Amino acid sequence: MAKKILCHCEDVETEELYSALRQGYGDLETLKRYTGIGTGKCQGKCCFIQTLRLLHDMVTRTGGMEREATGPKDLMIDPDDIRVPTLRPPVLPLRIKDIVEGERGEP
Amino acid sequence: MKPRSVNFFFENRRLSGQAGDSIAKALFDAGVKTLSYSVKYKRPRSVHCARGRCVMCHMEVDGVPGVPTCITPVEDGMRVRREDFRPFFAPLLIFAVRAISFPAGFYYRMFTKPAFLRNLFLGSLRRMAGVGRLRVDRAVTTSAADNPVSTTTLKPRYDMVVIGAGLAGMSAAYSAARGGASVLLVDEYHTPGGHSIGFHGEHEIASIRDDLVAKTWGHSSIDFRTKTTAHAFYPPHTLLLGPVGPNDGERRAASQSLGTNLPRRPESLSAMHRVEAANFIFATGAYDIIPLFDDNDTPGILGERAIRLLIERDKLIPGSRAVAYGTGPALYDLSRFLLHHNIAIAAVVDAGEPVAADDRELPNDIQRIYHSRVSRAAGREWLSSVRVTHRDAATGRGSRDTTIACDLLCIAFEGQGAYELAYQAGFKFEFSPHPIQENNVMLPSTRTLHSENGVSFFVVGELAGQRSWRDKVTAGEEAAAKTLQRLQASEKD
Repeated sequence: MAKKILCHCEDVETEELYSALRQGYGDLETLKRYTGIGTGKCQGKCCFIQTLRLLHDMVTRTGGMEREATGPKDLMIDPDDIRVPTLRPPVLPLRIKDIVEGERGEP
Repeated sequence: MKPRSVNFFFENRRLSGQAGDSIAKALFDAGVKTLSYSVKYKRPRSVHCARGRCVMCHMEVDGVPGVPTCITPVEDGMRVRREDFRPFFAPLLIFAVRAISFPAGFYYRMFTKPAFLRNLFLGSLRRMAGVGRLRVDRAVTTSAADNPVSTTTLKPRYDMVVIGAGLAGMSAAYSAARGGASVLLVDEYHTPGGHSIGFHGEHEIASIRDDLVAKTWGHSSIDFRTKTTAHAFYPPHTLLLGPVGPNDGERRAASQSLGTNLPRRPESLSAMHRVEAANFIFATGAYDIIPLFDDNDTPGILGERAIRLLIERDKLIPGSRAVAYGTGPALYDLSRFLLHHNIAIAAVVDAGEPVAADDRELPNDIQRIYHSRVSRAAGREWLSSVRVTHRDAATGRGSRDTTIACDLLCIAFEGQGAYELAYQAGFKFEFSPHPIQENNVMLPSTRTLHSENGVSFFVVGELAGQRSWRDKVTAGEEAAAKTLQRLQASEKD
């Protein structure tokens, strides 16, 4: 079955995002918690922007052909919600060993 | 010089590869293209970002899960296996799982009561996800062999810290150092140069990059660290640096390097470091973004940055017949790059208007399709064809489909800047709409930021939306000039 994969780490398809939108989760922070986008190992490096594009298309109704066909049409999304979610450290995965060992090279 | 050959184990097979190659390259040479199976639907995955950013090439290496095989060198006696959960009935299970649809938030809803069922359910889900298990001794203990060859430290304070050694970052570091500033230049990878490594459309780029590397690498005022990750920025002025990611191969790679002829010197950090500065330049570059279409995760779909790195850095030619998809000058530059490396181009699919200036350098016999989008990828373990939908200019709806056989789909849309650190420093990122949806990215609302604590921040390069090498180099120089002005002003005070 064909799937449009939105988040590669957590295998979230666009259909899941649309379903979450239909259930009323309308901004990136809650979508992230509910569908799991951006919670995988890469921490949203690809899927956040994809999600924002979809939300933006729904607000402006300028979606591409694929999105118009499948996306929910009567959603209320606040354009102000189309923004980056909170990005906390660390930026990339790091080894527990490196944290446990602590810091060196302090004067 | 003939490269040394190494023997390693892939699951139950004994394979040989060449020292200095990445694990992914060695596996590709041996015909293994599926490097992992996805978490939920068990879809085959292969090299994708070529930068160790994504999860598609993560494998278990010597008992450590989550090793990015695209940037980890292969070594003698290495034991490589896919992380997937594989009982003896695995094929049946995978077949079943692929057919299941997992509705959004299903794990919040299913088997929530009673508690024992909940625990059983979540436990099984975790096992099915099969993302590997890290043994505790592998995670926290250190042995002598774990430590890099040399233990190096950083100064606690610099005039300027530059994150990312691409064109913009190197140009900023060089200009500032020439003006007398002490500079720390960090890059996560073995090889400096960022994504300019693979550029071929304009040959000048390679020479400009090599020139900048030569100038910065040996400069007495520049502390140039490759294989160093900037993990976090803590306002007002602290940057946390550490050894490169969860990459167990890295320590053994201290004596090797992927694709670089630069002189070796102590470069990798052995522990976390805090560095302070009054000026920060973020030149962290951008990620490829693969647009949304049916089965857009099929192995063989690669972004322009990834394909350039794979071919130029790793000498890994992932396919022989490509469809180039994107828009703007980058698409035609990418097409020329593919042709240069003897990859046939089945078609150039442009999502936008024909622009004469862009495509006149391509041979005339190459098929170009304008106003069109790739709407579906086909192929089981590897890409076999793509469906291109021509968009009728009048109605804006899909009208005509063409199927094109190919084993590579190379994508050249706008990349999303690696904005995490700049965000932590206080930059605001705004969604910038573009007539072609696939080009919408988040861009910083300003390129300079002065905090009330007297710390200055600059974003340069692809992170600031600059695509041409000229813009990147100029932006780096400008940021350095501003930094020098500030340093001179503070000396007067």
